[in-house]
Amino acid sequence: MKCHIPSANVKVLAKAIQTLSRIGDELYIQPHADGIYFRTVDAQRSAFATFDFHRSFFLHYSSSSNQASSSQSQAQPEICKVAMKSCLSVFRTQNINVEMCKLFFSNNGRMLVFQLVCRHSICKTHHVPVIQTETLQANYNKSTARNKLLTQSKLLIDALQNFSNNQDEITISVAASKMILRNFTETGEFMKNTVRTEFALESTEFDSLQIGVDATVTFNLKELRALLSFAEVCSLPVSGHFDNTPGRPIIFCVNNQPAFDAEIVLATMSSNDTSTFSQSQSTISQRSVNESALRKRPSTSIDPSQSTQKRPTPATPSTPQQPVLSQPPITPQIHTEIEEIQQLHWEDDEEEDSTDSMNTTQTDAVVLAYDSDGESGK
Amino acid sequence: MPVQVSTVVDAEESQYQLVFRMDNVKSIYHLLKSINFQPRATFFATDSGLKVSVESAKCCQANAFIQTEIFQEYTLQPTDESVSFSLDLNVLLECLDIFGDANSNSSPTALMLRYQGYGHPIKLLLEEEDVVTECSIRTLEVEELANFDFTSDDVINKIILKSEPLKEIFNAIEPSTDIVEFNLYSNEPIVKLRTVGYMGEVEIDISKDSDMIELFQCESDSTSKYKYCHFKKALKALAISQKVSIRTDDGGLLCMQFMIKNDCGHICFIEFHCLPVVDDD
Repeated sequence: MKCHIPSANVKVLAKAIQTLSRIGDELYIQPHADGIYFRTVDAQRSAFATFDFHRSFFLHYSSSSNQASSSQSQAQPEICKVAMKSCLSVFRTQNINVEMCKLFFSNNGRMLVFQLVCRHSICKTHHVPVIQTETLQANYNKSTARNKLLTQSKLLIDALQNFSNNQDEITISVAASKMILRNFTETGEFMKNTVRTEFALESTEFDSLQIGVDATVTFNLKELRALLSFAEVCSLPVSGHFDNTPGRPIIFCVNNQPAFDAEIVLATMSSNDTSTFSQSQSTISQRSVNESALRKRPSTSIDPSQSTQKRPTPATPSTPQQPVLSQPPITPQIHTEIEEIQQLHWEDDEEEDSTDSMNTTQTDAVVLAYDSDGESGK
Repeated sequence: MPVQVSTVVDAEESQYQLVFRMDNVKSIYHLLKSINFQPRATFFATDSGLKVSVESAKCCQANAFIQTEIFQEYTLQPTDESVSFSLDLNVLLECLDIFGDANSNSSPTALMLRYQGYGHPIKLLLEEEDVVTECSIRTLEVEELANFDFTSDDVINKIILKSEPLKEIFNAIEPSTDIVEFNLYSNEPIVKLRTVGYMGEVEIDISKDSDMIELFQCESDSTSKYKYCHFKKALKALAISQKVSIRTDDGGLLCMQFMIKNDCGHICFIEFHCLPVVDDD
C-alpha cells in the first residue's frame, strides 16, 4: 500500500484520527482495492467506528497487490493494528503547513510510515510500529433500519449542548414527526439532585426525518459527540439509522462521496415502552406551538406536573451496552435486553408551583425537573 | 571575618557596586523567564552589560546577555574583582512581576536595582503609576559554573535559522521522547532531527533550499545525541526569539544562540549550551 494525501485532506485525516482516538485506543488500518479503512472499537466493544477513504481522497493510491515488483510473498493485503496514540502524535501540531502526506509500510510491513511534506522544505517522517496484522469487522446493516434522520451536525451539537458534559448516555425517542432527546441515568431512578433534561426536535428541523416505527433507544453519547465534531469540521450532514428492535445498534454516518464516508455503530438499550414518550410529548407540544421563530431553542417539558412517569431500567445497569462487534472468525452476536419498567411518582406541590411560574415567564428556556423530595414513590 | 566586614563597610560608605535603572521591566522579565529552568541564577556585571547564567546538572547551561543599552542607567563601580552574585530566579521573577501585569499591555513598571557587594541583598525598587514597591532579595554564594569552552576554532558546523518554523518542529516533538539526535550533513538533507520514543521514531529533515535557512556552513557531517529533557530547556528561549544560530563543535557540544528583539527594539541574546550523550559503544 502506498498513498499520497493532498494538503486539504490531511486535515480531514487528522480530524478522523482524532475522532477515532475518542472512541478506541487502537487503530486498525485496512487498505483495500479502492481505498483505506481506518477503524477502531472501544474497550467494551460497544462502539465501533469506521472511516472509509476512497480512491478520490488520495492524490495517488495503490494497494499492496499492485506492487508486485519486490519478491514479497504477501498475497494478503497489508492490514495492521497500531497504537492510536502514535498516530495521534503524527498530527499533533496542526499549524505546521503540511503540503502532502505519504502513507506506506516499510520494514517488511512492520512499520507504518507517515511522511509529512511541510512548508519550508521540511519533511517529517513518523515510523509507527505495527502491533499486529489484524483486522476488524463489525456486523451490522443500516439499510434495514426503519427510522432514518438526516441533519446538519450543528442541530445535534446545539441540542446536545443542553446536556451536561459528564452525561454518559442519552435516550432518543421518535414518534409522530418528532424526536425527543432525554438524558438517561443508569439507576433508572432519579436522585434528589439529578437534573432531568428533555429536548424536542420537530421533523421540520431535520433535513429529513423518516419515522418507520416509534422507537426509544438509549446509547452512549461520547462517540456521537466525537462524530459530530468531525462532521462540523468538515461541514457535512450527519445521518442516523435506528430501529425499535431491542439490541439493534444505532448507526450514525457522515458521507462525503466520493471521497470518504464515516460510520459509527453504537450499542443500544431500547425500550418498547412508548407511553413515556407520548406523555412527555403532550407537554412538549403545548410549549412549542408558536416556536417557528424559536425553533432552534430547546422546548421544555416539566415532569413534576405529570403524576406518573415510566422509565426504563436496564437489567444490568453497570454495562448498558451490548456487544455488537466481533472479530471475523466469531459469528456476530447481538444480545437483547428487555428493560424493566419502573414507575416513579412525583407529588410535590411546591415544585409544581415553581415550574408553573417558569412556564409563564420563560417558555423557551430549558426547564429542568427535579425529583425534589423523598415523597416520590408514596 | 574582619576582612569581609571591612569590605562591607567600605561598600556602604562608598556607593553601590552595581546600580541600574530601566523604565520598563518587561524587557528583562521575559528574557529571564525563558531561562528559568533552574531556580539558581548567577549574575555577572561587566562594563558591557549583565550576563545571567543558569545551569542544570553541569550538562546544559543558558546565558542571557543584557547589553547596557537596554538600561536607562547602568553604573558599575570599577573594582578589581568581578561583580557577581547568585540568587533565586523564581523570587526575582516574582518581584519583577509584583504588579502582575507582565503579560498585559498596561502601563510599564520601572525598575531600579542596587547591589552593594558580597554578602548584601539586592534591592529592587519597582514603580508603577506612583505606587512604589521595595524588594530585597538575599544573594547566594556564587556557584561555580561549568565552562563550556566553545571557541570558534572548534566549530565545525554552523547554521542560522528563522525561529518560527523551528518552533513548530521542536514543539511537535513527542514529550515522551528520550533522545534527540541532531545531524548536520553537507549533502541533502542538510539537517536531520531524529527522535525515538514510545510512540515510534520520528525523523525531521530540512532540505537545503528551505527558506528558513539563512546561513549554512558544514565542514564535515556531524551526528550527536542529546537528552530531550536537556534539549527542551531551550524551547522557552526559542519561543521568544526571532533567529537561531546552531553550532556544533568536533566534540558534539551544541551551542544555540537565540536572537531576541524586545518591545523597544533592542536586541538581546540567549546562549544555550548542551552536552551530548556519549554512546557506550
